[in-house]
Amino acid sequence: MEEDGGSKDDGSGGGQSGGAHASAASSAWTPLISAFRSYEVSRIYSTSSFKSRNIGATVRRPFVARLTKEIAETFQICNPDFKFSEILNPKRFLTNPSAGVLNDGFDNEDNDLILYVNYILINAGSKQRYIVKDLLGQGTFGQVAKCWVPETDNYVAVKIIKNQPAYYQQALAEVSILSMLNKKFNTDELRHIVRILDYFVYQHHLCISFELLGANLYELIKMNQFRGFPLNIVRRFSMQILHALVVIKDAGIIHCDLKPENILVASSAGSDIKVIDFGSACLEGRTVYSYIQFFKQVGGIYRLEDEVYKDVIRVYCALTAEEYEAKECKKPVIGKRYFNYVNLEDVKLEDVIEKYPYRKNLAEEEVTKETLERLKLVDFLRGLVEFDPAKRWSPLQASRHPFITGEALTCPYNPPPETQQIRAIQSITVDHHNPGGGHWLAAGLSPQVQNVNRCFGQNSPQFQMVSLTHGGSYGSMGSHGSYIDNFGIGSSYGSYGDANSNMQTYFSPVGPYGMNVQAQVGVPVIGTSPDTRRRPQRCHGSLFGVPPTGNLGPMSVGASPSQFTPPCSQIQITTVSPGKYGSSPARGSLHGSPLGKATAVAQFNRRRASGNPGSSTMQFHESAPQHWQGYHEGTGSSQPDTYSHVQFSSRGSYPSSTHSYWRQQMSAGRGSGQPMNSHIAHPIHSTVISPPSHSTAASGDKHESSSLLPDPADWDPNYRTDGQFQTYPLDESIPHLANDLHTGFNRLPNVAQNSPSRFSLQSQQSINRYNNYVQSTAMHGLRTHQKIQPSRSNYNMVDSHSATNNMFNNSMQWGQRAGHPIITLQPSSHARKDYGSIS
Amino acid sequence: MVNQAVDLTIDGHDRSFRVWVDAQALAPPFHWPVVGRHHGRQSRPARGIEPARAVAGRGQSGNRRRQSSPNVGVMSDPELEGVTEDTMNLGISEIGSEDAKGFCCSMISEVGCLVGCCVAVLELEEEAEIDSSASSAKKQMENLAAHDSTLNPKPKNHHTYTFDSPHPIYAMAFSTTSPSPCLALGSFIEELNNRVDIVSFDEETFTFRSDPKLFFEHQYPPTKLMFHPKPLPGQTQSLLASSGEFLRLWRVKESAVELCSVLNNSKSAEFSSPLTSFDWNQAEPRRIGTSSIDTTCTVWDIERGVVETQLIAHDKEVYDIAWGGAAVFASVSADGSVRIFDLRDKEHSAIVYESPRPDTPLLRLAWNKMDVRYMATILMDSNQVVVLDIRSPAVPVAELQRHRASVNAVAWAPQSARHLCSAGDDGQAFIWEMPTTVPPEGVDPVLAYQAGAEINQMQWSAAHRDWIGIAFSNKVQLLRV
Repeated sequence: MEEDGGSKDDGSGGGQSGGAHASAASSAWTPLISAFRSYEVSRIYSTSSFKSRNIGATVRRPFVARLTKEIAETFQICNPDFKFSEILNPKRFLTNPSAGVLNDGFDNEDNDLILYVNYILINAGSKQRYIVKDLLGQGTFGQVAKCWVPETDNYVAVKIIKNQPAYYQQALAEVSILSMLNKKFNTDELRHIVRILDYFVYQHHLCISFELLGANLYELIKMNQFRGFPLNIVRRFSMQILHALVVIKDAGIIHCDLKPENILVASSAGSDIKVIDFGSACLEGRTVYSYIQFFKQVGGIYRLEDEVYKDVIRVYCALTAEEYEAKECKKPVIGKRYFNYVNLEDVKLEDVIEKYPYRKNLAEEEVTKETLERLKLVDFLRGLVEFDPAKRWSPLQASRHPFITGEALTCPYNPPPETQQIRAIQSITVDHHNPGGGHWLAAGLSPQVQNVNRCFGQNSPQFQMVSLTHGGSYGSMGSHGSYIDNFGIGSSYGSYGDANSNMQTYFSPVGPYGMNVQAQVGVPVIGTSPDTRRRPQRCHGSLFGVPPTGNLGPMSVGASPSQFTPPCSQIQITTVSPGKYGSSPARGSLHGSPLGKATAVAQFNRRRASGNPGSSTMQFHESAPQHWQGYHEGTGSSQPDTYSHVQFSSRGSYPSSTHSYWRQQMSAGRGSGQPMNSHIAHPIHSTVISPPSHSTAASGDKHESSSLLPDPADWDPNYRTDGQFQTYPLDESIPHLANDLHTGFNRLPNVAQNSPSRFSLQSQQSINRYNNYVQSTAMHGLRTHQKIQPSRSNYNMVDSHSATNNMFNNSMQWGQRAGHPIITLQPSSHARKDYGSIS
Repeated sequence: MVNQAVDLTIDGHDRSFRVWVDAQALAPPFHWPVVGRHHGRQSRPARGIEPARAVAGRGQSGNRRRQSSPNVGVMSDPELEGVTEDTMNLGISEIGSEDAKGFCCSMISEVGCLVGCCVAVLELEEEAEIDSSASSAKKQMENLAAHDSTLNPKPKNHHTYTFDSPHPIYAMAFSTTSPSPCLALGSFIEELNNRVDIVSFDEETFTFRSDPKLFFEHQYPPTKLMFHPKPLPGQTQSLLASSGEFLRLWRVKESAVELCSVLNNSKSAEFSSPLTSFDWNQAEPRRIGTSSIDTTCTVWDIERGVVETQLIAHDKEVYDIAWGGAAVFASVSADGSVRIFDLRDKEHSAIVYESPRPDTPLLRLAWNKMDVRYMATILMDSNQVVVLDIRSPAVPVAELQRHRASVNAVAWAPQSARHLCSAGDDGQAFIWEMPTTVPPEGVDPVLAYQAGAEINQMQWSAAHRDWIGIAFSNKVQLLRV
């Protein structure tokens, strides 16, 4: 080009110097060499000489920049009175409708935060700002916004939950589940699960920040005109989904909403996918109300299934059906809207796959190869959609299928027993199939409840137990009362909307660590007296059937009580003693901080509070140990597991502990003579690994203790819910062997060390107070207390004051915004007072 | 070898310069930094004076560009005042044939006229051998120099005309009506006493005429000036629009300028949102679209004096706007995107480009009037001109990056779909011809012009298509193309 220009110039340069007008526009117009010369790379085109003038002075931008980028500054220089305010800029609303109706005008009529471009979300804690740039999606839960993080110049996806307790709770569960995953698994294990980055409350909306991903699989399929993907892509995606499912299952989580729309392509790597949206997820064994959604799809089929298996089925069917769905969508094949087939019933899986037109121009061998691959795929899918849950493959088993591994398929795939595989993956994880999972719902909602209850005794039995056996004692128990209080409040909340799962609260993101630790600590310390055992048990039961201990507390605190509504109401009726109710300061904690940071504290307060009204507090605590015993009876070898779990949980991995629980429950169930469970449970138990170090005297002791105390309540499955807390063992050991205590504590400290920095703030003061409190309140087990005290510091009690305040504030705001009557409650202050008085 | 120094005295000027050459770079064969010596062409006698900017400095700050090129510098006499380095261009011509080692120096003023010249023959070590040829070369060069000076009589060369303004110029517009080029020039003064002057150029006498009555006050520096694109035939007065804190319309008469209307869409008396630019719709001249740092574009119906529509065009400040049709406009913004809007469907916009680094502001936008598939934009602090094809969003057709400093202005040729002009802080104006396929090594401009300072503004006259106007420092130049 340069050459051309040069030659033209040569030809015309001289002649044009006369300055004749160039002819008007024509297609062949070329500029003349006149003022302009032909361009030469080598010519001395000055670069620095102009700038050199500015040496010593700040280099000023060219006029064009000073009248665009810097125009406001320029005009200000021209006229000091000039004012420009970005705030007055017209807003481009992203939320529709954009009229501020609720929440002081921050929310629209749908309780969605009204977003516009450049809206700034702020994490009040970390001061991190998220600048809204676009809306990625909208749903019943709220909105997802693409946000820019100025500090890192990164984009993230922020889920902004509706300002309603129900959604809030549900989202809280998502946070807890994801943070738990983050704690429990490493980056590699989580590479196919969306990464949670942050969460906070802004304008009473829970906001969760995730890594920003690309298109979802449904969009991809749609872009492909529903013709599906090549087999190798299907395999690749299947592998990744299975990888995610294995992890999810290990964690004891049921995703509950796995579908193409919730599988996203990671924006960075082309064919890497990630599972998102744990907003409907629940823990195995803890059913969420949103679970109903799932039943609509799959549940009906299994309605007639044996009750005993119901949980298992549900779990499996969640997993497999999800896999099924997810996979199908990728194929050119079946499926409702994912494929071109109109009538699903007329179509057989094999047909769809095998008869799918081959690509053109395929060589003979390739066709054969493709055919083989398709056979593999059919076999693979068959295993996933197996109707009989006992035969259906687990994700892990499925991931060994030749279709995934690429091995030759010689005969129909017959997966090895899962337990082995599981161990291979995670030695610590105990059970993969939670036989005990998901009872809540069934118990609470379905008409078949009775059967269910029996099977999963945890909830329903507890209720029964409580009302029948222990009913009288309830009133006397302060701790009990406090719990109830919470629930009562919860129920009032319940009017808001749907009830979410207990789990969620249970897992409240921040709370968990603190919660576990605290709960554990508290329980062992306080409870030594055998008398109280039964009462505590009831308490648990009354609590919702959810594990009553620390975990629950956080739940109730952090989450809106509405979740608990159904169970609560029951509880209230049966167990509540009204007087304690009103008086108990613990209420404040209920309202507590949505994020659950304060939750741990709240619990703490609660307990203290409970202690306050009466002597019963101790009792409450004691109950825990008892449960433990019972729990141990059943499991025997499980203790070591528990410990290991404890450590995990300290890091925030709830599920592991839960798992151990479940198993134990199962075993208990066996003991209690529920044969149904037992057969399932049995294999699971065998899988349990007992680290040698753990299986020390303590376990033995516990066994003894359990045997010594054959109270049926102890081994009652219900108790297990309590069993989540690792502290139990300690309690047990306390009465029997001082050594046990020590060992237990030693372990606990470890936990504390592992526990996140949050707890490191724990104030000695609080601990001391706590101790004092314990001493003052405790009529029993002084010995225990003293022993415990030194170790407590390790526990890292959260600073009660600050935490309480936070909780309080949060709760108050919440209430106010929402216009809840709860506002009037002054829980935190009460709690503190009580606290002070105690100490 | 020693550096050769040649004293250069320029006739008629009270200036003297010392030109020196780093003779070490002259070991044969050497290349003169002159057009015509490259690409293996035969050397030719110097025919004219190539305006080339010397490496100037008060000292021997030679800047070696190529190993085989001699280092040439010019040093002004430190005793002399009024000589600034950036107002001189040093022209260097090679002399004669391979064996004639010498050069001709000439001073060319920033207006393009020859100020003076002299010839020097280098004394190389092989004096004896080339002595005779050197002396003959010297003679030849003297002739040449004499010839050059006669070739460039006082009113300079015929292609570049300079208007000196008392203040720096930014906004500039060519009149669409006047028979000869006529310019509206907006000052850039960081005070509230800016003004716009109407200056006409007489193509007969090659002189600028500025009527002292043809001006108006404009508090803030105008961000853009533009004449009515389709004046009624035979009408002597024309409409001129200016943007600043508001959009204003002025009637330019033969001997006066009157304010027609002030179009203010601000909702607040206290706060205002300055307009960064505007564009007059050629197909629908009652429409003017403005861009503002309040993230909006506003379309005015100037006949009725009302806002036709206001769009939140971008997520950040909007810096320029350009019409592509009666109802279609595009805008660029601090958010780094080029968006196209259609007034018939205001709900949607199409992003046709996003700057590679997020949020690198795009400052200016030029829509090719001859072929509306193409537009060109410039990035802040970038030496690139990005040429876009709206049919293939996101991927630019070409990134023109031969400027050595940030580009400040870009314009498409009014008479050709393939040509555009750009100007920048390196003081250069380039004319580019878009190739059918862009070579991997990038596109070179076909023509280049070197101005004496950073070029702040450049406009290509639609009415007189062979004139390009540039503004640098206090000067405005008309360049013939």
